[in-house]
Amino acid sequence: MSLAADQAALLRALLADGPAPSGFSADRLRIEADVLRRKHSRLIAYLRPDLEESLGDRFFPLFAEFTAATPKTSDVRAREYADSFATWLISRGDLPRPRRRLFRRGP
Amino acid sequence: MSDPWGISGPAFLWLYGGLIVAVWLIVRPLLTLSARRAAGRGGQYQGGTPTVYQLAFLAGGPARAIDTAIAALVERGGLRVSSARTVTATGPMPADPLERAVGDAANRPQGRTTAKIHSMVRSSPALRMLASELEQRGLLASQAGVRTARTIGALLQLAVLVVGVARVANGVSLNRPITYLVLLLIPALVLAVRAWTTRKRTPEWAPTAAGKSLLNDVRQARLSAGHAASPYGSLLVGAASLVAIGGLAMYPDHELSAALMPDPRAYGGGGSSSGSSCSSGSSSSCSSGSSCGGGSSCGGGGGCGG
Amino acid sequence: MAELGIGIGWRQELDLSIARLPGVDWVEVVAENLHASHLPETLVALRSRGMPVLPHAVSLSLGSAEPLDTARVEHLAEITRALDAPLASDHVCFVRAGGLDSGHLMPLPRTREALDVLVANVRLAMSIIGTEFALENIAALLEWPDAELTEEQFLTELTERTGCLLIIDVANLYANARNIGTDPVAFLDGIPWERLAYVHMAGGVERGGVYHDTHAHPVLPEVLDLLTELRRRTDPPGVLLERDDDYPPDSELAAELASLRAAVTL
Repeated sequence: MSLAADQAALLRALLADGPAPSGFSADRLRIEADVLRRKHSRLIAYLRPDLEESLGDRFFPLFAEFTAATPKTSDVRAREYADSFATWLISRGDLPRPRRRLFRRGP
Repeated sequence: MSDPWGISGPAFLWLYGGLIVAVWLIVRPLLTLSARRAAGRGGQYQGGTPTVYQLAFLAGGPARAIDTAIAALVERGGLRVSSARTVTATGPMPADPLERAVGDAANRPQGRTTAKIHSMVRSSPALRMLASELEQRGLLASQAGVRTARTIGALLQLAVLVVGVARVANGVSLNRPITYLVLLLIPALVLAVRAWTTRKRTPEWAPTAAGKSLLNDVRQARLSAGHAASPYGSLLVGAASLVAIGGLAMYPDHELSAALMPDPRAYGGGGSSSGSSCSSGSSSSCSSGSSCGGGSSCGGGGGCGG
Repeated sequence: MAELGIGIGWRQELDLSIARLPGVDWVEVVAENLHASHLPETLVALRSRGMPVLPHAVSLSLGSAEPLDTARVEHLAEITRALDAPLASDHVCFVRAGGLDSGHLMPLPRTREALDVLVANVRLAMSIIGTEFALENIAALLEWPDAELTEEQFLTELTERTGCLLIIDVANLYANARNIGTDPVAFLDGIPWERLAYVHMAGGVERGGVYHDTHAHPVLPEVLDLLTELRRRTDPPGVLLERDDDYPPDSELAAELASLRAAVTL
């Protein structure tokens, strides 16, 4: 297997629920996948603090579900990915649809 | 045919209009004012030197108390200020309940703006406790009293509406012209509704006569030399007491006070960073593990979308 | 490599603190968080007082077998110019592969094939950036099978073939010693110290039987000991404290910087 394929296989295993490539410790793969997910979730929480605030404890488990189903590809910007997480949440009813306000509330 | 209720139609219109206005502009405010004055009529207050947060609440309400807690924490190193106008909690959690509420609100790696801290701490139990402590000492007008006064005022405004409706009903049964009267009912209704819905609005804070004289005493003590001798000694030193009386602009460190003051151009608490976009990203986008990889908030040569 | 001294990773949340902290000789800043056209005022202020500000990239993915994203390298070059920095840097890792983005620094197989790819990308990057360029060793929880070289051999050959410098992250070295059995002494013995740009130090925590390089905890005494070991072999031009999260009060930061200074002052 070429290096490119090997690297892709590793990332698929860590991010997209792909099969564990041979030669890697399954335990370590699991830990690393968790590290990546948590780090990613912190970035998303930074970009969309409103989501973290609304979801509270459910933020991380929901994000883990979303990212397993739709891993972030390298052509999507982090902010877009965060917004698509929000869209996914709304479509599943985990987040209420944003209400339109006639007048902007003050600070 | 004699006039209904003994008052001619046009005369009633004038009287009624005047009644609506009088209750709205004179009677209701008077009720509220007298309720505020009611507490602490004694002029002298009981119970030792107030705490700096009580003083702040008297001088500038809940907002000033929060600002004072922020100032105290910044001075002690419990809050770190960044030029992006955010504060971040550092070090151990403070013991004082108001300081703890501020510390909890600021407990995020990228911090929070002071505006956001205000909106989060505004409804905290610590502030309610401060208000009730001050009420008990007779320094702050009892909120319960004020609310009662507003309810009475609202009921009066409703009564005015009822009078108008009764007159209209009476006029209809007597086949009298009621057009103008009905038109007057509109403002009567609007004001009655408004009075009712705002009767329990966010309690304003208002010092009593005793509260005001205390504030004055502390201000005088500041101006005169020899702080050590003053019974208000503890309230005269430190950044917190400066801010309690004069607001955040009085924080002794210019760079920090500039960073703590809300941005006049900002429209609200909003996110954690203003100023240069993305430069605040480094902490959360690169925490844990050895630094962050691609897809960080500003990956690629493109903009971060702020 | 010019003398830098003791430095700290620049973060917006710490900007006012960093400007006032005693014992800060220089700062390093994550390049991806900056825009050359509007650098943060507080960062520019440091530069104006003559303090070195060095850009550090995290997303070039120089070890990727896929073609190098030169736009990212150009961005780094632009930041380097805007900061008037003598040096830019990234890591020995890959970040993206197969269209997926790990958002993290992933370890490379220590094979000749991987080294060839890395060397080619580093040469290309260096030609775009124009200044000195340094690569940093990362902490790895995962180890690729069938390694052909030790980490220090990998890094040595990298510098020989590209002319690049090295950032040696002592906390990462410790992490690898704990997590994948690297021999830290052999590592320190095998590094070409004349190629050292500067040293990174950071805190971490043991969790679930594994050491995590969090940058959110104080520096462990064992890691300080390793720094002292390093000092026996060379006098590093600079030592940088990295802190990304859970910031302590200024007094603690100052104390950590002082302990770094003490460890490298003989």
